[in-house]
Amino acid sequence: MNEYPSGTSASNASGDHSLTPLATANVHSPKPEVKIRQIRRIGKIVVTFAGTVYDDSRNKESNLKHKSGSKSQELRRNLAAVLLLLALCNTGFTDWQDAAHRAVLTNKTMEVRFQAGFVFSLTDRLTQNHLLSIGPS
Amino acid sequence: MLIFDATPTDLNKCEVNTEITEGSVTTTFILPGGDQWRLEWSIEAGQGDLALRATARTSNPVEFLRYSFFGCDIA
Repeated sequence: MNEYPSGTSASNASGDHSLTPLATANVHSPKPEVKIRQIRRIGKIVVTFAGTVYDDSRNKESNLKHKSGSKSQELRRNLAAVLLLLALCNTGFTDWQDAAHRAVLTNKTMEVRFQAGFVFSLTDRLTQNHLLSIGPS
Repeated sequence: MLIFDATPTDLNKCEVNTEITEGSVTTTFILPGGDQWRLEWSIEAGQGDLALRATARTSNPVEFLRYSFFGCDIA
């Protein structure tokens, strides 16, 4: 009844603009796109690992910190860090298991439920088969 | 959970941000060290595909980037 033939293919993940601010970043891996599973009738799951970006600008920044250093500068830096911390406390970051990170994507043939980017439910809407189902927390 | 190489990542210690739009959901994890892991799921209309784009920004080069599917019952 359930036939899910595996299929593989690879293509370039072109158009990756999610990390554009890091102009100096070095990409250390190619950008393979791997179809890990083809599900008959309900389309495919396509997984793209666009690669890890090594941010060497952060290392430069940390090197600069070591070089600079009067006490007033240090105090100013500490004050800035405290203010930044307070600001972060108000940005609404929540636990990954929080309901705020739950989402549902649906089309004609499948319904996928996510908890912070992790699939916890995948349902074939044509047959109502649960292809993947675990507790979200 | 193993995400980058063999170094375990505790998701409870990460800052998490999720953006949901029609047809896509994007979650960004910011690890305690500042590394970032971004999962962008999108679905096509009709009988279209479900696609995941996983990207990362790290302070050091990593050899492996992992995404885990839990509880699969797909033969």
